[in-house]
Amino acid sequence: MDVTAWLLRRIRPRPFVVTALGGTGVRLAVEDELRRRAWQPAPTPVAADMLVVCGPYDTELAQALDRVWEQMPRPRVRVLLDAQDDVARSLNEGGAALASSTEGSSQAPPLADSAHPAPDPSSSHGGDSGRSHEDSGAADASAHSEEHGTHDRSEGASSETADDEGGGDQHADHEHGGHGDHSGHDMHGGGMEMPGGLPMAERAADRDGLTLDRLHVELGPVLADWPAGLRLSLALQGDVVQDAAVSVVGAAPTDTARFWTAPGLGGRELGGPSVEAAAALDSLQRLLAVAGWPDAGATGRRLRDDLLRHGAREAWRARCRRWIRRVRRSRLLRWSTDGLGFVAPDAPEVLRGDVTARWKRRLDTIEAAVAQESAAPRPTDAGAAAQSALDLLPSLLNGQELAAVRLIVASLDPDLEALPADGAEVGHG
Amino acid sequence: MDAFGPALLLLGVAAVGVALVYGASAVVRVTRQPLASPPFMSGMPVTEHAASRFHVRWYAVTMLFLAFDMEMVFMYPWVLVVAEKGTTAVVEMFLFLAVLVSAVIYAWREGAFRWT
Amino acid sequence: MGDPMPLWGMLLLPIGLLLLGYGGAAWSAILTARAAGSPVSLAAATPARETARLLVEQRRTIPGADTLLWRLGGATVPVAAVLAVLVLPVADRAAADLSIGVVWFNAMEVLIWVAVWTVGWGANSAWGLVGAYRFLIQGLAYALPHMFALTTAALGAGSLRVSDIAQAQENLWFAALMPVAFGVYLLSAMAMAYWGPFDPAVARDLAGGAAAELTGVDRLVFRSGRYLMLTAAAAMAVPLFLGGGAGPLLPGWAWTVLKTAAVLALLVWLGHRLPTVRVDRFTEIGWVVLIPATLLQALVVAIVVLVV
Repeated sequence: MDVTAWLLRRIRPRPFVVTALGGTGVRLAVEDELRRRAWQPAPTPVAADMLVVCGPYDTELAQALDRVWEQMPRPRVRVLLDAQDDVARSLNEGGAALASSTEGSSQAPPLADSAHPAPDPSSSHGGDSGRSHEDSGAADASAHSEEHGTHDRSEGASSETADDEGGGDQHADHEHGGHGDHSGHDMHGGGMEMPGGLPMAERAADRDGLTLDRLHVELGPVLADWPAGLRLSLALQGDVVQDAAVSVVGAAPTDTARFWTAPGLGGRELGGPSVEAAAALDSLQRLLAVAGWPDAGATGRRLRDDLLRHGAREAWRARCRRWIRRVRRSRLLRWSTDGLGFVAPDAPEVLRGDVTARWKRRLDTIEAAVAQESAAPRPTDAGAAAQSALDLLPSLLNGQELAAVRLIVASLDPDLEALPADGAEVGHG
Repeated sequence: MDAFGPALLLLGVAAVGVALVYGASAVVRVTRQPLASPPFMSGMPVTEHAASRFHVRWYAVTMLFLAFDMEMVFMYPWVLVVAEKGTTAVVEMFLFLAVLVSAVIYAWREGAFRWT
Repeated sequence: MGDPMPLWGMLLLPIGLLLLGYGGAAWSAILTARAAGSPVSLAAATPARETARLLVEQRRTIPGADTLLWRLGGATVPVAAVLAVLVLPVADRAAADLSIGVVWFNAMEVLIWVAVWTVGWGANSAWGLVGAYRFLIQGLAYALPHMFALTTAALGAGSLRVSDIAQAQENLWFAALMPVAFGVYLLSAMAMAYWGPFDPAVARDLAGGAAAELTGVDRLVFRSGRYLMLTAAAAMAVPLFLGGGAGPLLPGWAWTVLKTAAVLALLVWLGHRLPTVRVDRFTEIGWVVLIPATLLQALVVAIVVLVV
């Protein structure tokens, strides 16, 4: 397979970046590095060949990551990064592993292995392009531990309905998941009549007086342009939300503060307005990507990285002003977001108004840093804002289309790292 | 009708092209064994088949579209005779279109183009 | 109408489409790199490297998926794009200068609806399903203005033959005579290739929508088909609105290629410059603004045809 090797060496990796709670700093470093290498992040792990995980280990997230890993086509490589790792070196190694991946190389062990609850914290890679049946044993083990891990957990909304957490119901759910994984490997459905051992969607009444199928769709925790640690369980008819339940996957380690309010921001000397602006840029780039304007989002990311690295320099301010003008003047963007997800004025200030009002407020924050206004920014309690965003979400999302759901979530952008410790209900396993 | 000979030829060329790409991939890809896995669901287990009776809330638009699409059957040939038939052809066609547009305006006021 | 296109011309046609399509993809990569501040020098090779990546990548099956429809849909996209340029006159010759050339182009372009829907539906994935239906409603919103724009160009020439339409523009390009129809045509060119502001069917917010579950060569064919379709739509704008191969100094085919490249560059740039339009908002505009606007345009052109 000479040609294969030749082609593999010419590949530019397509990473899919997942952020665990507490991994914001690592994610920023990764995104900065990817940008400079022109490695374009993939919109879904299926389209990616490199799974980049930023942040501390978490059991529940690890199970999700194992499922995602099973869905990634070969050649593939996994790069796990935590705060102390050298991002550039790890990405280099990941890229090298991809370029040299040949048949029969080693299989990455599952992340959520109950025997090894905390894998080696330093970066580790698993390059793998072998035939799938060779690693069915390892994958079975992972599916097995998934079942146990999830079953033992007392929290974690079941996929059927968030408020129904009956053990039997939940167990049945995960049985199906397990079979799905299992049949994914050697295609024996165990005598199930439906393909893959999955049931069809159930029907339910609708406001139009029709009784059509109700699909259950999960948004998060592993999703592009999505707040870290957020999980939304939706019941959809067509693409309209009938029911939404929110939960938090994982918990930020108690010893590290929220990234954006950590003193000195990893040793960097930045004024308050600049940090606020960088946080607002980070939030906005996600919203712009979700709104289908990836170029404006990419520029926002670049402005954020430059601001964090060099501070608000003159060249940065000029570029930022141009970008702000372009985004603010976009009628199409306003047209897409006007009137969506209206939050009453008794909520924390950052959440009030519709989606347009929220992204405009973020632009104002950035503009203040550009103008270097001396007026101290109003300190926002990110924890309280995140908590009330979580509380508001189910009612805001009911009756919305999936496109609107993404925009509303991206505009509220709850920073779950800022949740007060007792608010982070989902503990470690 | 011999004009459709080239169409078949071009279809052949395109099909061969696609087949070549598939063939090339079959030769060079890292493994011939396809990956069998459930669809992506944000890292959560898939609990049901996605192929379902999808609630199409804009079905009213499809009805309206059908009416207009049939109209195109008249409009394409009409194009060829406008110069020949003169004013009557134009008046007739646009009266017909006016009737259809009034239906669109009615549907619009009834909210057929908003469904969320 | 000139002589029929020689056999080598028919081979050259898809190759030319492919080259221009690659140019479009590279231009898109350059725009992305510029926006992100990535090295632009790397960008021109991005589509080639991505092709290499997808060629060696493993394919995928999904339990319960309608694999036949899924694969067939993806392969339909490039085939439909190539068939669409059957009626494109290059240097006064089309592969087949059908007397109903405009209708042929219209029909091939509508094949994309089937293709995107089956790709989304066949994968048995919720993302694909939602993306597939998004494309259908977008189609219902753009198709009529698009067809009226095509009809208006045909009306200006009094013929459905594409080469006749190009020749009718010897004195005045239809882009100048019927600017509304031209504008709507450009919009619908992006919509039929689910490009730029009209990409909700394969958007990032759906994790790739209709294309969410494609890997390897299947994704490669689907994605290159999209660029081919965009190129085909840009190429058809040349005889329909931009005077065909007419131009000073250079031969006709060179002008066709140059104009196509210019329209393609414009479409790609617009796609990067504009955010996605949500389908539920676009439907209303398509029906209440674009249809009356294109009909008025057709009326004006009909009167011009009668008077002149």
